[in-house]
Amino acid sequence: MPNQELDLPPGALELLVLKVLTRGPMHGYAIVRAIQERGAEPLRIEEGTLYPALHRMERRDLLSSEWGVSESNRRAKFYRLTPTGRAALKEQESAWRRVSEAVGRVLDTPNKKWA
Amino acid sequence: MSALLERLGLFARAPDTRSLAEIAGDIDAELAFHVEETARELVAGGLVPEEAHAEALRRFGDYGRIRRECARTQMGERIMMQRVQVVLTALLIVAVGVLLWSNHEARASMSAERAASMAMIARIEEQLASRSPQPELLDGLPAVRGPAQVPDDSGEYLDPSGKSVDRTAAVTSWISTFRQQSDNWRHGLKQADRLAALPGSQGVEILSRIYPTLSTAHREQIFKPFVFDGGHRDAVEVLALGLLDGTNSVRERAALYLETYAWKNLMYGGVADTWLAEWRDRPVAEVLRANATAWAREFGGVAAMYEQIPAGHPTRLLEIIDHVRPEVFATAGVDLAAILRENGIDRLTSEQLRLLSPSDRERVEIVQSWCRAK
Repeated sequence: MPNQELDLPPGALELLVLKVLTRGPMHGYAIVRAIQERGAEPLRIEEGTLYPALHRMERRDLLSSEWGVSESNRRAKFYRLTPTGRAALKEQESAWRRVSEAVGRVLDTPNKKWA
Repeated sequence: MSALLERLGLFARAPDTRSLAEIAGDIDAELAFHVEETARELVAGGLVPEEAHAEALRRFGDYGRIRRECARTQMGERIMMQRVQVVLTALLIVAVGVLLWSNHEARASMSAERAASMAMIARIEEQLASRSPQPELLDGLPAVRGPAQVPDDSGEYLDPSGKSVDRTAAVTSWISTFRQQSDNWRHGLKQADRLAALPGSQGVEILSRIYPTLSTAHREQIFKPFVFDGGHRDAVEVLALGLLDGTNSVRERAALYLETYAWKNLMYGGVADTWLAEWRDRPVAEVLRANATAWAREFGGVAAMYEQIPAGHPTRLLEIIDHVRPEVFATAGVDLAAILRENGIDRLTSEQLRLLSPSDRERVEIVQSWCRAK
């Protein structure tokens, strides 16, 4: 059970993308690696699903993109946070923490019958 | 128009100004970069290139579906713009039509009226050519899109030697087999033949995963076995890979083969992408029936409007005949002859066809004699 991969909850991928892009502009491949480096190994992320998410976020003006040259000297599309994206990150991060704390409180409260 | 839509809140930002072909090329380049970077990392970690590429594709997920989702997100906006423009133009045409009708009796010259009608029909035809058939207008066909193909990650697949293996092993073997002679188009065609002969949807599933690793010489050949000799049930899905290809020569071939299914020239700007968005997830029989019916109604409608079909008027419609493969309809169980007969194509007289160019007349006569023989 501890080694079992976990599915990413809805909305989490967008939050993770917004968070790692606070480091600066990155292409999709670097975004996936940055998410994994930050401790997301237990989460099952089909790498390709990042791209439709990136395109939707760009369309909603959370991200902007431009073509550049990667570390391996290849043409790559780099994404960066827009001001709308920064505001969304703040809002989503706060909401995520509140939900997480609330769920944690329920889980941590002993059943009265056994208290 | 864009500024107005933006102001109305239809778009969060200004619409994309790239052509649909450029959008498709950018999506290909972006996704290919990810797969190749992963493969490069795996090679550095000790894997051989073929295994690294297969593993990179496995980690990436369903390449075809992801590519399609990206295309829908990016092209949806452009397609919506085109539809808004079609609707506005149609309204304008209706307004002109009402005006012409109201002035009908006052018109002194019949030839002037005919010229105006001709101009109007030409504009309608141009609008029809620039959009896909509307399925909800066709009798007996569902208006909703069919379910998208769900990738099957389980089960066994045949590798090039005919051995049953898991999908990752099959993908690795097929990549390796194609790569043995990347520059040899005959080798690509031979392997494509074998892929198309795999049972069920195995061929298209494997192809959609290995497609980004194929050379241009192979991608140019890959579609033939899925279209020739009666066609394959997944032909539209395979041709869709080509229609979104970043290389012109590959895209042109895919568009040419798709004319059997679309009954229109898909090389006009934007038509291919719009058509694909509408039809690629539908069963092949439905695609063939709906698109052939739309063509027959359009040509039959033009024909019914005149005592003699005007010279040059339906040439673009009739050119399709050169590229359509009727045997594909037979394989799919669709009665093409009945569709053409229901729209009066077989009843056009030589007097009605008199003004057509010899080549256009010949095209109609070929279709008529084929209909009568069925």
